Amino acid sequence: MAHTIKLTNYNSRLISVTNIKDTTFYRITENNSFPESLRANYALLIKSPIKGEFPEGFGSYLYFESSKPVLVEGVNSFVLADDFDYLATDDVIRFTSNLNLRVIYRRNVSPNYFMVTEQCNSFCLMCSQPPKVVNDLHLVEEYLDVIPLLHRDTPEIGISGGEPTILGQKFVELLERLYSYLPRTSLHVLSNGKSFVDTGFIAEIAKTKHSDLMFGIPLYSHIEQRHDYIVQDKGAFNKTVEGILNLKQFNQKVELRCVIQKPNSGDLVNLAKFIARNLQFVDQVAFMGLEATGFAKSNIEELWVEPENYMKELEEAVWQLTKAHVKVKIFNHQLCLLPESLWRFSVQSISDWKTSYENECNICSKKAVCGGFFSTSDGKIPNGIKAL
Amino acid sequence: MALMKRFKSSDNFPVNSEYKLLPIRFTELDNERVVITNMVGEHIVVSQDSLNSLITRSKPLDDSLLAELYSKHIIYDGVSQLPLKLSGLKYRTKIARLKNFTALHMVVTTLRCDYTCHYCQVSRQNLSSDNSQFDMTVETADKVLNLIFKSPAKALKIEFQGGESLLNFDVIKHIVLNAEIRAETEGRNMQYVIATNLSPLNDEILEFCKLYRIYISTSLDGPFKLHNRNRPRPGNNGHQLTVAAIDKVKSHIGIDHISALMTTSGRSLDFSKEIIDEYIKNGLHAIFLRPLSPYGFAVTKGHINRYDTEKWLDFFKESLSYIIEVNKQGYPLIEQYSSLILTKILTARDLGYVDLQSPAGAMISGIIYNYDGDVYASDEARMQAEIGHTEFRLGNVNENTYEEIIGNEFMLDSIEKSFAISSPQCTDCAFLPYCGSDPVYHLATQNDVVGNKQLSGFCKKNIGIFKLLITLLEDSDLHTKRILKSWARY
Repeated sequence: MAHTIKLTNYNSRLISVTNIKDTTFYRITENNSFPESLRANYALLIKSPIKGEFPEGFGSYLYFESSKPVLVEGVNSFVLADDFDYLATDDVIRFTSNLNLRVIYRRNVSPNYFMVTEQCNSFCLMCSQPPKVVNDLHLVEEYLDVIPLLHRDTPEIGISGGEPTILGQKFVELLERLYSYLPRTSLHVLSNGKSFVDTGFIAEIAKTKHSDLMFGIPLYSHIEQRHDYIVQDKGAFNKTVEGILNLKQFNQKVELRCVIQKPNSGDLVNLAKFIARNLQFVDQVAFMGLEATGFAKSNIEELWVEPENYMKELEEAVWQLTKAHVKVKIFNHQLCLLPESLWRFSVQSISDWKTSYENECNICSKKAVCGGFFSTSDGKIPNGIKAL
Repeated sequence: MALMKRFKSSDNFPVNSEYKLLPIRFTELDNERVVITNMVGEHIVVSQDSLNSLITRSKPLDDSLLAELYSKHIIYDGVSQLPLKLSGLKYRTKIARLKNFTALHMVVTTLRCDYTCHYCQVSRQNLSSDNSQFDMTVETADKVLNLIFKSPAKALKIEFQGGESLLNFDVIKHIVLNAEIRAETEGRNMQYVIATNLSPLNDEILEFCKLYRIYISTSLDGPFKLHNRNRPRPGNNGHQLTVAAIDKVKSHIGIDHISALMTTSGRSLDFSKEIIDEYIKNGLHAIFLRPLSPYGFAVTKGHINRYDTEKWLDFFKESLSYIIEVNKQGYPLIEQYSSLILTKILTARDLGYVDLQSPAGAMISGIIYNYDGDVYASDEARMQAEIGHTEFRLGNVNENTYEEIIGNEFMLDSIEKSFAISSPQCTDCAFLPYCGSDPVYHLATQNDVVGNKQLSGFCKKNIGIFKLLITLLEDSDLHTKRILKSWARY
C-alpha cells in the first residue's frame, strides 16, 4: 500500500540546496522534453540520471538523495529525502523561504484537502485539528495562488479548517477561483454552518453557480443543549440548523455529519427522527466514529464510547433515515463492529495516509473492503475487533 | 478524568426549564395517559401528571422529557425563531397538496353491473338494461375530459368506476387515449385506475391496461363463501372469477398494478382471520379494511349491515393484530388505512386521502363525474343523490362551466363551515392533525355539514383507530413497532 502524506502539515527540511531564486509553487513533471515556453512554472523530477543534453529552463530540478545526483550550476536544484519518492507528475509543491518543502496537492490522491484556516468559531470537545487564534490569511492566499496549477481533471477537493467560512469574502473568492480553473471538480466544504444564518453570504456563494459543491455540517444531537455542549458554544444548534435551512433554500447541497461520542451516543435514533421530520431534504447524513486525536485525545475519558454499546442505536437510526429516503453513510467504523445490515452504508473514509490495521486484520477476509483504523487515533482500538 | 480545563462541562449547558407552549392539543389516551400533538402532528404520550406540570408549571419536568418536548416543537424558549420556522416549514409541507387542487377524477362509465351485492350503494342496473340509458356517452366523456384538464394539478389521476366500469370499456378507451394526447401537449402526468369486479376482463382489456400502465382496483371480501354471499352474482362464481382475474392482472400488467379492497358487511365481522388469509393466499401485500359507509342504498336496503362502530373497531383491532402477526411470521402485509394514518402521525407528509382532509377532501382532493354528466363532490355524495339527497351535486358537464361547478355555492359554504380547526370538539382534539372534516358524511347522518361529533360515527371510528395505533406505537414490542413504522410513507 502506498504511503501518502498529509498535504498541509508535513514539513521536511531540505537536505541540500544550491540556491533559491524564488519561492513560488511548482507543478511537477517527469517529462524532460516538456514545451520550453511552459517550463518556468514546472519542477522537473529526475528519478534517474539524464541522458543526453540537459533540459534547460525548468523552474527547478528535483533529485533524490539516493541517486547521488550531480547538480548543474546556476539552476534551482533540490535534493530530496527518499521519503518523497511518492512525488509524481502533476503534483504541486512549494518551497518556503525557510527552506522547507510542502506538498500542496497530489494528483493521485482524492480528495485533496485544503486547510484554509486554523481559526474557528466553535471549540468542539473532539476536534481532531484544534483551532488556533492566529492571523493566518496567508494560508488561503497560498491556495488562491496555487489553484491554476492543479490538474483540470481533479475529481474532488475538500476545504477544511478551522472554520473556512470565517474567511468571509476570501472564502467566496476561493470558491470562485476553484470554479474558474476547475469547473468539473467536486468541492466538499467542512463547515459548522453557523455563518449561513447570513443569507447574504449564501447568496454570494450561490452566485458562483458551482454545480457540485457540498457543505458537510455537523449536527450532533436533536437536543439543542447537547449539541451546544459538544461544540462548546451556546446557541450553536439554532444557528447551525438555521444555516442548513438557508443553504437548502438556496439549493445548496448539505451533508449532516454526526461524530458519535459518549455524550450523544444515546441520541442517534431521536436525532434521526428529528432529521426525518425537520430536515428530510438534506442530501446525506454521515455517522462517524471518533478519531482519538487532537482534543478528542485529551478528553478521551469523557468522550470514548465503545461502538458495541451504540450499535443497536445506530442501526435503528440508519433504518429510520433510510425509511425517510435520506441517504446515509457510515464513516470510520470497522466492518467487524457493524451488523451486516449496516455494511452497505459503510464507506472507506479514513484518508489512506491515516489508515492502519491491527494484527488480527491480516487474517480477515474483509480487510480489502474495510476502512481500517486511524493510525492517528492513538492506541484507541475498540472492543470486539475480530477477523471475519 | 474530566474534560481539559479549557472546556466547559455539560452542567453549563442545561436544558432550559423556562419554556413557552407552542400551539398544542391534548386528549386522553387511556386512564393514565394523554396524547399531546402540535399543529403539524408530532405527538408525545405523557402521564396526566406530566401534562398538569407542563401546563400549570406546578412541578419541574425532568430534563429528558423537556428535551423531547423541545425537539418535537411542543414547547420553545420563547426567544429562538428556529422552532417557529421549522414548524412553519412542516405545516406548509403538510398542506402542500392544496395548491394542486383536484388531482383525483372519478368517472362513472356505467351504472350497469353483473353483480347484485346487497351492500351496493348505487342504483345498479341489470345487464339487460338499455345501454343508452345508463352508460356514459362519448359526447359526455369528452365534456368530462375538458373539465378534468381544467384542473390545475400537474399530476392527474383518473379512476373509472361503476356499476361495473368495464362494461363500458369503449368509453374508458376513449378517455384514456384522448387524455394521453392532451397530457403530452400540456405536460401533465397521468395515472389511471379501473375499479372493477374484473368479471368482464378479457385479452383486449389486459393488453390495453398493460400499454397504458393502468392500475386495477378490485373487491375481494374474503374466502369464497363470504365473498359470494356478500357479492352475489348469477352462477355464484364471483369469487372464482375474481381470484383468477387477479392472477391474470399480476402476470400481464404487473404485481404492483393490482390492489384489492374489502368491504365489511355485517357477516364479515366474524371472519377477520379468514379474510386476511384469503389476501395472503392470493399473494396480495396490502389490504384495506373498510367499514360499510352509511350512504345510499347500503343502509336503506337491509338491516344485516347495521352494525355499530364499536363492533367495527373490535373487528379492526382483531384484524390488525392478526396482520401484525402475519408480518412477524415473514409475510409483508400492509393495512392501508393504518398506513395512511401512520404517515400522518410519523412523517411530515400527508398522502391526501380524501376522507381525512381539512379543508374537506370532497371536490378539492377528488371529484366524481356520473354516467349522465352530473358532477358530485365525492363518491359518497353521488350515493346520497341516489336516495334523493342531491345537495352535493355540483352541476352537469353538459350544462355548466368548470367555474360554475367548482364555485358551487353550497359546496364552498360547506367547506368553509366544516374546517376541522374551527369545528366544535375538533378544535380541541389532539387528533385533529390526523383527521379531517367530512361534510358529506355529516350531512347524510345528521343533516348538518359540521355535525355534532359526540354523535358522529366518523369521529368515533377515527378516534378509535388513532388511539389504537398510538397505543401500539407506545406499548408494543420492538418488532411490532418496527412493522407499524415501516408502513408510514415518507
